Amino acid sequence: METVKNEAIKINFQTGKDSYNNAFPLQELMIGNNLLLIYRGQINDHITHSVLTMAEKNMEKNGEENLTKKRVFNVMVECLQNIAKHADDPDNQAASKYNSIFLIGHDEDGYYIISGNVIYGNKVQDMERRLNLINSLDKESLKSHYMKIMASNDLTDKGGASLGFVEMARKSGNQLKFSFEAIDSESQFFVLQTSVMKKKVA
Amino acid sequence: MVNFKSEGTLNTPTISLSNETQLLTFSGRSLPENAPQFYSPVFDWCNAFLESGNRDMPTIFEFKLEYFNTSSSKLIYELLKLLSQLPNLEVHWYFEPDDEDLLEAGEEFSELITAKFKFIELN
Repeated sequence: METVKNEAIKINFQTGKDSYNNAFPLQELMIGNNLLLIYRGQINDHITHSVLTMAEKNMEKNGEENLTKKRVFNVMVECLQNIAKHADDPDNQAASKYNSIFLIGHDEDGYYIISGNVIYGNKVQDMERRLNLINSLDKESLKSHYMKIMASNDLTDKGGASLGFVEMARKSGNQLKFSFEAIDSESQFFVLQTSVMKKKVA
Repeated sequence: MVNFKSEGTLNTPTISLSNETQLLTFSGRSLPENAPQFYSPVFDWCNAFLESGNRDMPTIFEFKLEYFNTSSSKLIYELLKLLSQLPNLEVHWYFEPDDEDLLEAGEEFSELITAKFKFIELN
């Protein structure tokens, strides 16, 4: 058996010599699910900016309206930086196979920003409470909630302003969809979907 | 007191703080992951400026950022709160005509900060 030296090549061809054919079904899969971008792996500052640049170029190419483009960009920034700051990396086998994922979907109505990452189970209750509170607020209440946090809270030790989810909800104008899936007794997989609808031209 | 100048990158803003003209300009994008670390020298400069600045002359905070993340937003709030100790602080908030969100963000700052706010539409 041939030894594969390059890690990237090994990943691309791991199912055998004919697996380059998989690029086509993968393309079909992305088209069928309206996916513009899929990323799976560690999310850090460097990856965040690469993903942002790719998505921004894509929206520019599509001639997307400035306001929509900026809203999608802002949601992506908060989502990716949230993961870079808060994703956990539990030292156990069950959780270690789960990487962070980041997807952008797009159809004629809008953009869908989806992320998934591992967190410690003991964070779930607090996150659920914060997300449910945000989803219960209308536009004006979200604004006052945002201003209240900005004026009163201190920055966290990770430099966060505790405003990320609120900002995402404000840019979206819709409910934040989220779920937690238990991986094991210690860790959960947190999935978050934010939609940004295009402005309807009357 | 020396002026402060920081050249922008893809994810950090261009900042120019002048002791003579008392013009403090922020433009570009402010998306650093560690915003407190990035803004720390700006706070140092502003603290010194509060001591040495001319209080009879207006100090103009020119806000020309097109993108900023929430932790930058929080630090800009803290910075404006600090500078609002000056009796003649003016905030000139620039926005593109089709960016209602940026205008709204500026209006929110104006509700929280004691200063004269001017909203300027870019052409």
